[in-house]
Amino acid sequence: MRLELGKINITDIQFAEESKIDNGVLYVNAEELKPLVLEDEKIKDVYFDIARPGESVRITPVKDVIEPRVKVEGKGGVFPGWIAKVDTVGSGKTYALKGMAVVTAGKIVGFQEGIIDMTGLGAEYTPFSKTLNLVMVCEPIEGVKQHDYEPAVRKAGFRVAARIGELARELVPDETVVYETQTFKEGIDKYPDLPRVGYVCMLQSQGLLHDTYVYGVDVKQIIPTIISPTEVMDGAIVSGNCVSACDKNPTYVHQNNPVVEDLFAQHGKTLNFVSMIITNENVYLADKQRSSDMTAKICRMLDLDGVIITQEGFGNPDTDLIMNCKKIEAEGIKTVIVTDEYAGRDGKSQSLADADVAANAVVTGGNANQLVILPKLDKVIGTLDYVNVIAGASDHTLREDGSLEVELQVITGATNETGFGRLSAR
Amino acid sequence: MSKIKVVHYINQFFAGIGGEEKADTPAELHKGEVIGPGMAFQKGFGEEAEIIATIVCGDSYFNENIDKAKAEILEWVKDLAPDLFVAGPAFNAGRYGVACGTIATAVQEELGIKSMTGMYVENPGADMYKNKVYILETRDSAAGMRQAVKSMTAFALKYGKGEKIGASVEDGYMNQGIRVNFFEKERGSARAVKMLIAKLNDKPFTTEYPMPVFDKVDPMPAVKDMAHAKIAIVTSGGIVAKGNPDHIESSSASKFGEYDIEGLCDLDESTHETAHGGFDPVYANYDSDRVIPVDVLCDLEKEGVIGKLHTKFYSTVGNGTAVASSKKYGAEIAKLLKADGVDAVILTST
Amino acid sequence: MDYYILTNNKLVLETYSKTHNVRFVECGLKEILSTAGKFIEDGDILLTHPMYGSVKPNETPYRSMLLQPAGRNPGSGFPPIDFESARLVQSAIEATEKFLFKKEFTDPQLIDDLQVVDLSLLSSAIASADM
Repeated sequence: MRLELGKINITDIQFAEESKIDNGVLYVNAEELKPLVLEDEKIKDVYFDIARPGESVRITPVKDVIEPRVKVEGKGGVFPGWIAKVDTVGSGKTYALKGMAVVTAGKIVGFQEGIIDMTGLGAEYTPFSKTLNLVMVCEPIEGVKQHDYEPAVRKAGFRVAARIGELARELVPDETVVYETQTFKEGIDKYPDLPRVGYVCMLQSQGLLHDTYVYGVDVKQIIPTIISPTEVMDGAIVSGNCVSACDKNPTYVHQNNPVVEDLFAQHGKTLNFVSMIITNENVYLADKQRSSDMTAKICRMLDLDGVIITQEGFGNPDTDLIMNCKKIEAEGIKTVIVTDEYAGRDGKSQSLADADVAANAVVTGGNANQLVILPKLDKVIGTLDYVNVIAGASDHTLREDGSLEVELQVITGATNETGFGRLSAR
Repeated sequence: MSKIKVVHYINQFFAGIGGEEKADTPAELHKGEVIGPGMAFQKGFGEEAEIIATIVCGDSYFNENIDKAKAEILEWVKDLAPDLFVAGPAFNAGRYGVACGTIATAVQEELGIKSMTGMYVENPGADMYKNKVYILETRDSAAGMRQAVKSMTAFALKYGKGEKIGASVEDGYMNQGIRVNFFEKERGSARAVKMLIAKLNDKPFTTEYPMPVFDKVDPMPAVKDMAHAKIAIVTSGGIVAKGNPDHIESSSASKFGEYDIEGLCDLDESTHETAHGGFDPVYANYDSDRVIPVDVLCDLEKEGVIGKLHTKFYSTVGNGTAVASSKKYGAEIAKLLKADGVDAVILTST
Repeated sequence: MDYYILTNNKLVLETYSKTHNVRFVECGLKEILSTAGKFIEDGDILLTHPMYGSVKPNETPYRSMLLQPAGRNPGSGFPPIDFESARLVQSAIEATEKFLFKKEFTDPQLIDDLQVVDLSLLSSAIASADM
C-alpha cells in the first residue's frame, strides 16, 4: 500500500468569524463548531478554548487528543467506522495538520485523569505541550449514564477534528512523505537480504474507558489480525477515551504511531517492514491465551525475523505483553518489547506485574509512580474539581499554594508505551 | 562558593608503601597531604574542591581489624568534617574494593557525609555496596586510572555541589536497584528499532529493564537406595534450639544455625522454638516437628525406610532474607552436609 | 461454562444476581483479592485477570472476578491448586501495596462511577465466558 502524507504546518490557532487556514494560521469559528458537537443530545454544552505552547495553561481532565486530517485522494475517509464509511483506508493521499491537536476534555466519570500543562515541569512530560491545542470542554446532560456519554464525547471529538481537517483539503502541503509497504512476495523479491520485521501493536480492550476501536469495531471482539501501517495514519484505530492518562494511547498517537514511523525510516535500508499486527488485551484469561497464540502464529506465518511489541495500559496487559513476547520468541522470532513501569514512588518495587527471561530486550517509558510537583498555572481549561480523585493523586494533591502533587501517571502521554516520548528509567 | 572539602581513602599500594607484603600497614591519617591517585583528583578538581587529608590503610589490616580500623577512620573523618569522602578507585583488587565500599558506606551512614568510591564491576565490593553508596564503574586494572579519575572527578564535583544526580546511565555510577527516570536522547520507538536491529544482527544491546531472574535448579536424580541413605533436614522456617542461642533474626536473617538432634525423636516446647517473625509462631513453638519432621523421620529410621537421620539440622529465617544471603547460606550448608556424608536433604519452609 | 462471580461491588450483585451465581463479600480491595486467594487454595480457577483495568489499586475499592469452581468429587481428596491462578492473585495483592494513596470513598457520584467501571470491566469478561 502506498500513502502520501501531506503535512500542513500550523503556526497558530485563532478564533475568527470564518473558519479557514491561511498562511499556516488556523482560524476557527467556535459558534460553527458548537452545533456539530451538540448534535448528540447527550452533550448539554460545549465550549472551545485555545492553549498554546509556553502559555501558563493547564488542561484537565483530558479525554482524547486527535490530529485533524483529511483524505484527499484514494479509497475511504478519515476515522473509518465513525466519520467515513468502513472502506479500507491507507492508500492515496492524506493531509495532516501538523503542530496542532484537538483535545477533548470534561467529566465522564468522577475519577478521571489526564493533565496537559503547557508550561513548567508538567510540560516536559507530555508531548501535547508542544502542540497548539484546540480544546473542547464538554458537559453532559443531567442523569446520562456513563456508558452512553463516553461514546458521545468520543465521537464529537472525531467530528470536530474531521471538520477542521476538511479546511485543508484544497491546500498545498508544506512537506510530503510517502509511506509504502510491499505485499509479501514483492517484499521478499525486493529485499531478499533484509530481515523481515513486524510490529505487534497491543490495544487496550477491557471495558468503559479502557477501550480501543478499529474501523468502528470494539477491539475486545477481534481476533488478532494484520493491518497495513498506513491504515492507522487515516485513523483506522481510535481511542475509547481513558482513565490511565500516562500510558493509554490517545487517537493522536495511533495516527502518528512512532514505531510505524521509525520502522518505515529503516524500511528497505536495514530491515523489511512487513506488516503491523494488532491484538487486544482482554480481561478474560482464555481470551489472552487465544490472542497471544494467534499473534505468535501470524508472526510465524509471515516468516518474520524480528518483532517490536508495544503495550497499552497498566497491570493485566503486562501478562499479555509477556505472553506475546514468550510465544513469539518461542517461534524463533526476535522481539523487543516497549512498556512502562510502576516501580513505586521510591522506584524499589517490581516494575511489571509479569516477567519472563524471554523478554531480554526491553525499552521502557519510565516509572509512572514518580512523584512530580506541578506549579500553579494562571488558567485552567476544564476543571480542577476532579483533581483530587485522579489516579496518582490524593486528598492532599491540591496544595495550599495551588500547586499539585501527583504521580506522573496523571499526565497525558507521560510514559507512553509505543515509545512516543524520550522518558526512560534505569 | 567555597571549595568542596574532600577526604581521600587509599590502600598501602596506591600510597606507595608497598604491595602485599605491606598489606598489614595500620590506618594512617595524613592531614593536608595529597597522595598517589589523589594528585590526579586534585588536578581534576582545580579550584572547585580540595583534598584536605588522605587516609591510608593496608588492605589486610582493614579487613582483619575491621571494627577497629573503621572506628579509627570514622573518628578522623568526623573531626575533619569534609563535604565529601572519596575512596579508591579500587579497580579489581578484591580486598581493597571491599574496604572502599565498607568505609565509604560507614562514613555516609554513620556520619551523614556524602560518600563515593570507584571500582570494577566484578570487584566483590561492587555487589556488596553498590546499593548503599555511589560506586563509579572503572576498568579492571590501574591502567584505567586516567579514565577512572576523569569520571570520578566529574561525579565528585557534581555530587559535592549538591546538584541532582541523574539515572545511573547518565552519571556513570553502578545501578542501585532503584528505578530512576530520566530523558533519553531518542524517543522510545527509535530506541526499540535500534535494539531490534542489533538483536537481529547478533550485535550487543542493553535492555533498559533487566527482567528479574529467578534461579532454577535442576533436581538431582532420585535416591536409589533410601534404606541406606543418610537424610538431613534444612529449613528456612526458623526452627532453633530453645532460647535461640545464635540470635537468628526474625526477618532478614544474617546467618544460619546448626543444631544437634542426636538422640532426639520428638521436638517440643522444652527443646525447640521458631525464630521466624513472618507467621504466627504458636503452633511451631508448641511442636517444632510441624516445621521439621524429626519425629516422622525418626520413625522411618526405626522402620528401616531410611538409613539414618543426620544428627544435625540447619536452619535460617526466610522472612525477607535477601536472595544473595540465602544463596551464600545454602552453599555453606551444602559443604557441611557433604563433609558429613549426607545423601539427601529434606528442605522445609513455612 | 460453570463459573461464579466473586465481587465486593453491590452493583455487580444487583445486575447479575438473577442470572448468574454471584458471591458478594462486603469488604475492601485487598480483602476481596485475599478471598479469591482462599478459593484458589481450595482448587478454584481464575477466569479473569485480577488486576483488570487501569484504575489503579487503592483508587477504587471495587474488584470483581470470575472463578471456575473446582470439581469436588466426594472421596477424591483435595483438588490440585491452579498455580497460574495463585500467581496472578498473589501479584495483584502485591501490586495493591505499591500504590500508596489511600482514599476515603464517600462521594456518592464517585462511588457510582467506580462501581459502573468495575461492572463494565467484568461484563466484558462475562461476554467472553458466556459465549
